[in-house]
Amino acid sequence: MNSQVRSSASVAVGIENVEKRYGDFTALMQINLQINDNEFFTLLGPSGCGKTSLLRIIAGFEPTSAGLLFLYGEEIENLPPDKRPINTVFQNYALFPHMSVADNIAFGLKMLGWSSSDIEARVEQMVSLVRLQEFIHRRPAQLSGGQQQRVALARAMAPKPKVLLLDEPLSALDLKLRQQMRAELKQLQRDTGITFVFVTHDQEEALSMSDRIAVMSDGRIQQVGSPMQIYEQPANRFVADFIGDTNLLDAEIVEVAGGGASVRLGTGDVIKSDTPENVQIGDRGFVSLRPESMRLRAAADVGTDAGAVALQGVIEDIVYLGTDRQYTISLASNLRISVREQNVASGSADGLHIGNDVCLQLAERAARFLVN
Amino acid sequence: MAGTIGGRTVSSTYAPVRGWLLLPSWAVIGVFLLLPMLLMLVYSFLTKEFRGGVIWEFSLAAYDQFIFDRGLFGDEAPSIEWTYITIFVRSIVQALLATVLCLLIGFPTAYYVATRPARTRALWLFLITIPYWVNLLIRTVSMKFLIRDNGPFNEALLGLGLIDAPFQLVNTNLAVQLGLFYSYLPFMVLPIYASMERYNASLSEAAADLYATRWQILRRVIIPVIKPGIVAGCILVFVPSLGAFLAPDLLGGAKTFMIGSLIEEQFKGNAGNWPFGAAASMILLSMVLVVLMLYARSQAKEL
Repeated sequence: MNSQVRSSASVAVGIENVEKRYGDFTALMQINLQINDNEFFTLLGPSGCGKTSLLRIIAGFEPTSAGLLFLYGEEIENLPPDKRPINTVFQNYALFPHMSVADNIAFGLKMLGWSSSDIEARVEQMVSLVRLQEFIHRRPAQLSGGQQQRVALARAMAPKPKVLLLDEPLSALDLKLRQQMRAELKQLQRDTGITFVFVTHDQEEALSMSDRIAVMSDGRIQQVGSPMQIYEQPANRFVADFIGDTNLLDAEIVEVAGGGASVRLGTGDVIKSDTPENVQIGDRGFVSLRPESMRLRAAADVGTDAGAVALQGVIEDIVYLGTDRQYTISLASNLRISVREQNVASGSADGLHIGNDVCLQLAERAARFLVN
Repeated sequence: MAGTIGGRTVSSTYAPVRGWLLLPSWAVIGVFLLLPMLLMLVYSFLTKEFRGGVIWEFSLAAYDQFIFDRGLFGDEAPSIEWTYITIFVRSIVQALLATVLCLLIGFPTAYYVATRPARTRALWLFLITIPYWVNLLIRTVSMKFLIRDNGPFNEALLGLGLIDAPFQLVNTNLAVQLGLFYSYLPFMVLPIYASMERYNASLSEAAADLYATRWQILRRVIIPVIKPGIVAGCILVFVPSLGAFLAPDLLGGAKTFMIGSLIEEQFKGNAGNWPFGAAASMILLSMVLVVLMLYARSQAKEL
């Protein structure tokens, strides 16, 4: 890693070869990340993947076992949390129960030694930003979950941190409020221009808010990219499986041509597929087929237009999901695949029933081949 | 039937928190606490019998004796009687000192124990309570044995050459203080521990994240949040220290006399003065009530 990257003003948080061990257990290994200035960056992964450890290391609550940590080019791994211009929104909010909303928001400013008139002005600005004007004299216990969440945000943003860390801040809220807060958080990040580092296990949250996402598992970063890259071009099996629903089918490359390739599935069918670079005929791996990237048609309707047909099977199960129907199709060689069709008003697939023979048509670039 | 459980109003057969559940405890409190206290209140306004006991004749003599000196035969012009006031002031000072000392030692202890892993915590609590399996009287006598002029404490200091003559502790206010502190320390540690254990450590992290130093975290977050435990500990130490008589009797002397001993003396043997003892008890009780009411008011203001 060269020092120009570290000192570059566009890199808010630089993480180089960071490791974290607890006794024999390695929570984080060889983490390298550059979080850009003014970016909404998400650490996404299942519980125990190390995302919270990494956040706590950035905040300064835990020391690293090895590696370097930079904030806008300055080394910070030896600074205690109260010396880092970084603030955190905690998972359980950690609001001070003995203080009013206003005192909670003012806490960091008091500790920084702001003058009381500056504090008053800033607190007023923050409460109007998070729309809590009527509640400033209440204690946290007198607020709803969503309001507490806003206080936690206002408190963390009041000291104008260079980076704001958010540790699963929406997980305690109910679904409606969570969806509303997603939009508000994203808006807040755009308006303030603060770099957000957001930790979540909820892929929908990550996809809908982030500029870039780092997918983590087993203490390693599996892939870093935009939501679209992560979803459409997963780097490996874990990412393909963790982000969204997908069908993973064993496959072997039989032909390489231009940007794509043809792969043979376990059913014996050969389909077109996207591939990573440098694959060769004979490479084995699997293809990821998103349920929504396939069209379902009754076998009888297709008739002679066999060229567009990729796979054939029998409907085994249909689940009605409101906006969609989810079909489970059994293919040849005992393989199963799941397909989602939108319930449009004219419902072309409405006539399909369990037991019907069907054909699957693949959308352009629906399949993505990945080596094991 | 509606009731409240955990602050929520519930109405069903499963909220049968009816008044009669308190009946046994009302009976015990009534018979063994309120009745004797009423009796003492009445006694304090009666005339003394010289061999102990009372004559059923209204008199303010007990309270008068507490405050005024009217000479040996009661016929001189009244002047303020300082003896008992001095004893009361000494008792208050001793009780306050014991409370402060217990807080200074008890708070770090409770903090330490509460921040240990769950398994070790139980062991520490066990160790703290072990001495209290022995009767208070025995423990106080043992302490006297330890600190007397030719006891192990002085022998050790003499042996090390730190002092030339025994350091006199017995019969001093310091010894009484030591006895009070030792007797009531767990009453400080346990309530603070209980609050500390419920304390959410992420509050300290949040404070550090918001630029508070360790000292500021302690002063502005930890202490205010666990304040109910601290106040409970202080009351539990102050109130019994104020009325204590074992420590001043056994470790102290005439110059370290406290209210508890004064009251005890009035009811012991034939030489006592029951109305005077009862009056001193009532004055002590009113002082404790004032302290508790001030506390209750400060709590009410905060909510």
